[in-house]
Formats: sequence, C-alpha cells, structure tokens
Amino acid sequence: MWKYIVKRILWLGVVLLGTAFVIFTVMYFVPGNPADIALPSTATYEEKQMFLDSLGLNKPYYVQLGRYLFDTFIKFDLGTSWTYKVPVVQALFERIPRTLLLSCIIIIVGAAIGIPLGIFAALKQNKWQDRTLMVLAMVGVSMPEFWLALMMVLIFCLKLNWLPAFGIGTAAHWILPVIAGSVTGIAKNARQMRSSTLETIRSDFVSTARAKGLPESKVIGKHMLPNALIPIINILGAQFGKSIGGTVVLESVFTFPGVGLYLLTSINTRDFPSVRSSVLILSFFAAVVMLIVDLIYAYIDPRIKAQYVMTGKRRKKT
Amino acid sequence: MKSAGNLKKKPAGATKGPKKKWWKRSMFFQILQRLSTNSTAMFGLILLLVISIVAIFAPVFAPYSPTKMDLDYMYAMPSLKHLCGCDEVGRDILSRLIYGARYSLSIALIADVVSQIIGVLIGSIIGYVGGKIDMVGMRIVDIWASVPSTLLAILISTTLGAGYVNTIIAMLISNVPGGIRSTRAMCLKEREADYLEAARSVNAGPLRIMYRHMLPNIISPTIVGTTMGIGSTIIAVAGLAYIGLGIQPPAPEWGAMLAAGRNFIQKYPHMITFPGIAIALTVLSLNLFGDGLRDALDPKMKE
Amino acid sequence: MNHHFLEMKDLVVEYTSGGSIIHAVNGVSIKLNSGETLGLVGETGAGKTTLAKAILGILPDRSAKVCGGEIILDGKDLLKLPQKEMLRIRGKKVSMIFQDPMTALNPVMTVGGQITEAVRLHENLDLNESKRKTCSMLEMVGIPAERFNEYPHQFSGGMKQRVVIAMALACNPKLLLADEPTSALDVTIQAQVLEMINDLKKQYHMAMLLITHDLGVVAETCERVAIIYAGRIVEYGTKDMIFRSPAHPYTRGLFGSLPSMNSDVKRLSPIPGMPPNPSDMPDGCAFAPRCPYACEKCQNGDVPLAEIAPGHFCRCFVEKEE
Repeated sequence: MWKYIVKRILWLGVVLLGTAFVIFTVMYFVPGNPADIALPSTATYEEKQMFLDSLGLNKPYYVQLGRYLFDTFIKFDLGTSWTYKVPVVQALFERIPRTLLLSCIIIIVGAAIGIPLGIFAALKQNKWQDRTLMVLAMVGVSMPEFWLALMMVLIFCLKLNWLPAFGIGTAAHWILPVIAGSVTGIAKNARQMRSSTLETIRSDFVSTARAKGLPESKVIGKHMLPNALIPIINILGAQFGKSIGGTVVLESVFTFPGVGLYLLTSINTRDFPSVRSSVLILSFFAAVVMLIVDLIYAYIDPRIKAQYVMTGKRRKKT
Repeated sequence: MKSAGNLKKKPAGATKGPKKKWWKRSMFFQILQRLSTNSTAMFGLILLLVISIVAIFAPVFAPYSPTKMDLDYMYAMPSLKHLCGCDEVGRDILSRLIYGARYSLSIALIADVVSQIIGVLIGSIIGYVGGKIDMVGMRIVDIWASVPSTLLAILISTTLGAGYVNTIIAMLISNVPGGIRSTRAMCLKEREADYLEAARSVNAGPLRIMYRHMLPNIISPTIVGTTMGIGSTIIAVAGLAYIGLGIQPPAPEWGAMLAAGRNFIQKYPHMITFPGIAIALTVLSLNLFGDGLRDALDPKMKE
Repeated sequence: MNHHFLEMKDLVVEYTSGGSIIHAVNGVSIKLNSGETLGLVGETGAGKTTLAKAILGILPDRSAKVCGGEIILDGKDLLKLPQKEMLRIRGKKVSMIFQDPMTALNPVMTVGGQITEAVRLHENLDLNESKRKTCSMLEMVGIPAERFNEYPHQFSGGMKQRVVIAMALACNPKLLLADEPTSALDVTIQAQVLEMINDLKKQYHMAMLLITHDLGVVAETCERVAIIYAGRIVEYGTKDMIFRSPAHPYTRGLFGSLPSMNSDVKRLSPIPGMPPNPSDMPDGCAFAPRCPYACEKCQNGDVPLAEIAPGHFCRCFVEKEE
C-alpha cells in the first residue's frame, strides 16, 4: 500500500509540472502587451522594449517556459507581480489560508448537512419529508451560486442588516460566503446520498444482516451506511475541485480577500505572474485533496485497496 | 374416468394479453410512456420547451429591442410598461432576458453536446482498448484535468477574449476531460461483461464490439449526463460573464446582466433578481427533465 | 408427531406495487417437524422466498404485509411476537441462507467479522471466545481458519456460500431456511455443499425448509415435498408419494419436462405457457390456463386442497389416468 501512496505523490509532482506547462502556454497567447498596461501611455517604444526585456518577455517561447518552470519548481520563486511590484508569494501569503479555509468549510458543511439529509430522505421514501427535501434539493442544484450570494447580500445585509456583506474581519464575515457556497453542495450530496442509500438498502447483504437478528439501527449503521457512503466520497473529492473554481466567483461577490479575488484583479491588469501562480496554487490544492480522497476511498473499500496493492497480476480466487 | 379427449388443450400463451402494435412495443415508445407518467419530468420538459420557443422566436415575444436604450427609463422599477424594469441605460430587462436565453441555451447546448461526443469517442477507445493507450491517454487527461474546469475556462476565456464562439471553445475545452473520464469508467465496467465475451467468441472485431455492443449500453447514462450538463454549463457561462469574461454587454447575457446590477443591489434590486430567476428556471427545467429521463431509461433503479 | 416444530396456517402475504395489490403468498399451510427437511418446489415468482422471509419477519416493510394466517414456531405465533423477541429468534432459533452468495455478504466487512457478529449477538461469549467459535465454524464448512480476516471478494462463489452457511449455523439454529442454496453454484460444488448441509443437519438435529426449483436437489435431501404455484400449495406429501405418483398436473408437468436418461428425445417438453401475472390472476384454479386436463369446473371458484391418499394432498379434482 505504501508503494502505491509514494507512487501517487510522485505522480502528483509530475502532474503539477504539467499543470504549470498548461497554464503557462495558455497565458502565453493572451493578447495585449504588458508594457502597454504597466507603463504610462506616454512611454516610448524603446522604453516599452526595455520593460519587456527586463522581464525576459522578448525571448522565444521555450526559453520563457524553461525559465518559468525553473523559477517555480527549483527556486520556488513565483515571480514578481507586475502591478504591485512585490513578490507574488508575499501577496498570496495571507490569501491562501483564507481561500483554503473557505473551501474546506464549504465542503465540510456540504457533507455534514447534505449526507444526513439524504439518508433521512431515503428512509422516509415517498413520504412528505422525502418529497419536500428532494424538491428543495432540486432547486438548490439549479441555482447559480453567485446569484444566491447576491440575493443573500440583498436580504441579509441590505434589507435586514443582520450580517456584513463585504470584506473580512470578524467571524460574521464568513457566514454568508459559507452559506452561499455550500447550498449547492448540500443539495447535491443529499440527492446522491438518497439514491445511494436506496440502492444499498435493497441489497442482499442487508437482508442477511436482518436475518441474523441485528436490530434495525445496527443494520443501517454498521452494514448499510458504510457501503452507501463509498460512492459519496469520490464525489466529495470532485466537489472540492469545482468548489475551488466557484470560490473565485464567490469571492468576487463578497469582496472576500482571497486567492480568487486576487486572480480576478490580476487577470484584468494582465499581471501574468500573479495569474499563473494563483491558478497553479489553486490547482495544487485541488489535486492534493483529490489524492487524499482517493486514499481514503482505498482505505475504506477493501476491494479498491486490493486493486491498488496487487502488482498487476490477476490473483486467482481461491 | 373422464377421458382427456373431450377437453380442449389450451393454446400456449393463453395467459398473455392481446398483442400490441409493433411500434407500441418498441423501446423508444416504452421510454416515452414511462416519461409521460412522470409529472415532474413533464413539467420540466414543458418549461424547457416554453423557454426554448420563446428564445427561438424572441422577436415575436420580446416587447422591446434588447439594445434600445431609453434614457428616460434608466433603472426603472418593474411596471406595466416594463414588466421586469429597465437596466442602467434604460434597456428593457424582460426583452434582454428573452434574447439572453438564446445565448445561454445555444452556447450550453453546443458546448455540452460536442464535448460529450468528443468525450465518448475518446473515452470509449481508451476504455475498451486499455493497455498502453489507456496509460498514456489517462496521464494526458490527468494533466488536462489538473486545472479545475472553472479555472481552465477562465484562463482560456482570458486568452481568446470575449465573444460567442470563444466562450463555446472555452467551455468545450474545460468540459472534455470530464466526459472522457466518465465514459472510460463506464467502459471499464462493461468491458468484462459477459455479452462482450459472447460477441468476441463469434469473432466480432474490436471496432464492431465497441460501437455495436458496448456503446448502446453506455448511451443512457451519457444522455442523462448531457442533459444535466447543459444546466451546469449555463451556470458556468453566466459565471464567466459575471466576472467579466465570456459574453459581455451590450449582448444580453444573463450573467453579464447580474454583473451590471451588482453595484445597485440596494437601490434597484430588480436588476439582479430577474436574470437570476431566468437562470434558475432554465436550469431547473433541465434538471427535472434529466431526472425523469434517467428514471425512464432505467426503470429498475426507481423501485 | 402431534407437536410440529413449525406450523404455518393459511398465510397470506400482500405486496403493493405501483398501486396494485398482489398476493404473493395466498393461503399457504405447511407443517415441519424437528430433524425433518421439507422441500418447497416452485418456479421463480411463486412466492417461495416471500414465505421464508415472512417466517423470519424480514419482509420489506414498505411494500409487503402479512395480512392473514399464523406462523407457529415451537408453540409461539411469530406474527404476534414483539420485535424484541423476534430479534432473539432470528439467527438463533431460525436462520436463513440466501440465494445469491455473490451479494449476500457485506463487501466491506471481513468474513470472520460477519460470522462473529452473529455469534456475539446470540451467545454469551466474549470477543475471543466468539472468534474461536467463528474459526471452528469456518473449519467445519471447509474454510481454513486463517482466512478469518479476508474479505468476501477474495472468495469464489462456492466458498462464499460456505461462509453464508457457516454464518447461518453459527448459533445452532433449530430451523434452517435454505433459499436455493446451490442454484448459483456449479454442479460439483453443488454436490459438496448439499452433502455438507445434510451432515450438519444430522449433527444439529435441525429442521430445514429447503426452497428450490431443482427436483434433483429435492430427491437428495428432502423427506417431504410441497409444490407451490402462484402463491398456493398445489401438492404436498412425502418424497416417495410426489416422485412416484405425482397427482397435480403441474407436478406432472415438472417431472415431464425433465429430460429422460433412458430415451432419446428430439425436443424437450416444457409446460406450455407462462406463470400467471400476479396482479391479474385468473378466476378459479391458477394453473387452468396451462393445464392439459382443464375443464369448465376448474375456472369456477377456488379449488380446495384435498387429501387424495393418507398424507398426500392435491389441489385438483380432475381425475386423471395413471
């Protein structure tokens, strides 16, 4: 098993390299001359060229790519922001934990509320509790997150004045972003969990457990749930990736000073190093979470664990 | 003893019902039948059709032109004259919503369907053939998918710039790896199935097995996935427009309208309320219909 | 014997499916003594598994309901017992072996863990003693005790079924409900498993209700046989009676459809037609539409179960040539 984990971690490094390559290449083709944006409009052609030279932007593609990869992975230098003239690492230093924390809380809330709701709906299949929950879940999945965020700002900040809308400072500042961001997750998890539970509860091994004389609570808790939760874990990992992307827009609505907002402003100012590094960091965290989720999944489901441990030869069943 | 002679032997199949018309027994009709009894799915379908018809025949339904500015009515609240009010330069919001449906629906439809088709083609080859192609292919897909789809769409949009076609391309590129992965996962499950073994045993070639045997079994979940995927693409496109990429004003894209209304939430809430409701209703109709489609295509999951 | 270990009287089980009510079990009465095996033979959908699950009380609450009859086990009516007492009986006094070994075990629990769970539920042993008991059960069904910590997917079909049997017998039940225990296995394994079940039955002096559609299995293991069709017993008697002189047309059809070892036939002779749609049962005898001896009287009203010879019951009044 350890061999597998080490292999995955090494692969993560390779993927990161590939991610950086993809990001750099895509950004390379962004139209617009950074010199035009960074320097005042009165700058002459020579001054612009000098600016570009100083940033190494007149060199050919592969040289720039090489320089970028070397800087990022060997020197751990994420570049200097063209707009703020400070190293990107410094600018991101405070923002990374905020965005990470926000995304993690959103995922945890989504799971902690969504999963029990889904199980509850499944156990009360077709009764009014189930129907209501599923209708709500349907609506929750169909709403754009950032619109929900805007409506919540409208109602809770501007009309009712209960919660702060923008920025950061107190714990109260986190409440609305978390709620707005987790609604979709809660709805998705509830629906998934409900269908997973319904499927598992009809399984033969659940009948076997009942036939043994186990009280219903143990049948559900010890036999049904672990099996029903397995597909959800996979989904949670993918949700984190989506949530990271969604955080960008969410931070824009709430002016939440995280990596996402930084990314957006950098895009508008064509601040390439900031854009590249922000996307790289966000992708890195998404990949790490997926790796953790995969490992948890393998830990819980012995069939998957067996697959990963086997060296590739088909083991004969005895 | 009573002999068996004077008793009529009942014909075989005596317990079957009257024979139905051949087209009524076809799979397609059965699916339609199951679908039609599902009231929420039909509601979704009807809503979707209504929205689509309104979008296609926008000039007929829209009370005003979506780009006509009327500075007398800047920020107008909803009234009888302008049912959803007006935006910051006096354009009627309802008309903009109707024309905006064209953008959202067409971009999402094209991007989602094309990306699913590409995903199925590539994913089925990778999934069925396996071996070296699987290893190399999945590594490439891993790197492609390493940037979360939203971020990738943002990057590509930045590079290509705003605009209709560019947005489609951005959504396409960011959605394909997901389609490849899920198709491959389904193919891996089906690959060991007995019916494929049977086809192989009568010497069917790999291409034939793939497309005539495996693919039809994958079609159902793929169709459901595509339908739900259109909904999430609509939201993603709106999100892009909201942050300033994708489709931009004066084009009446729903997300861009939300961005425009952002700074006037308190004074003119109608500017963000109606575009959001439009997005939510459209996606809801797609999701309801997709759910019903899933139940109709695979009824044993329902019970 | 006067006191039967298991006595089922006029059991009726209803399923509600999509609005319509189906009587999966429609007035079934059987009797079983300790140490005796009763074979319950019928086609798929005849109501056999429902019967077994009704005895244990594990019918799916949502769709199934027992709405008539009694199930008397050792003097007590199981249908009237409170849930707490049923929990004590399940797994301890009455055990069940399910049909498909591939899905009968929890995939994420070790094999040993699942058996130990049953032991700890009913016996007063601590953890180590329970584990030891589990190991001895595993050995008894021919599985090395070292495989205690392995997971179900690491076992073949036949081995899985043995685990299921070990689990069912772990607490020395007095009644074993075996629902097609060998249908999913190939013939050689089938023989081994049947032999093992027979040995264990003698060892534990168990009563057994063996549900099967395979007459060969019945011949090997059962003392008495009940033939069930469309939720009703249509013939009932000792193995000899049923095999030597089957009375009901359905039973005759079953034996008739077996290919003969002695003669050379070009085609098999199955029973024509299909079992009736449970939601659309014909009036009168349920088998009449497929029966070569059917007459008009067969379609009017219920046919009662009559004793045509001492201990041999048949639900058919048409006299036939022998």
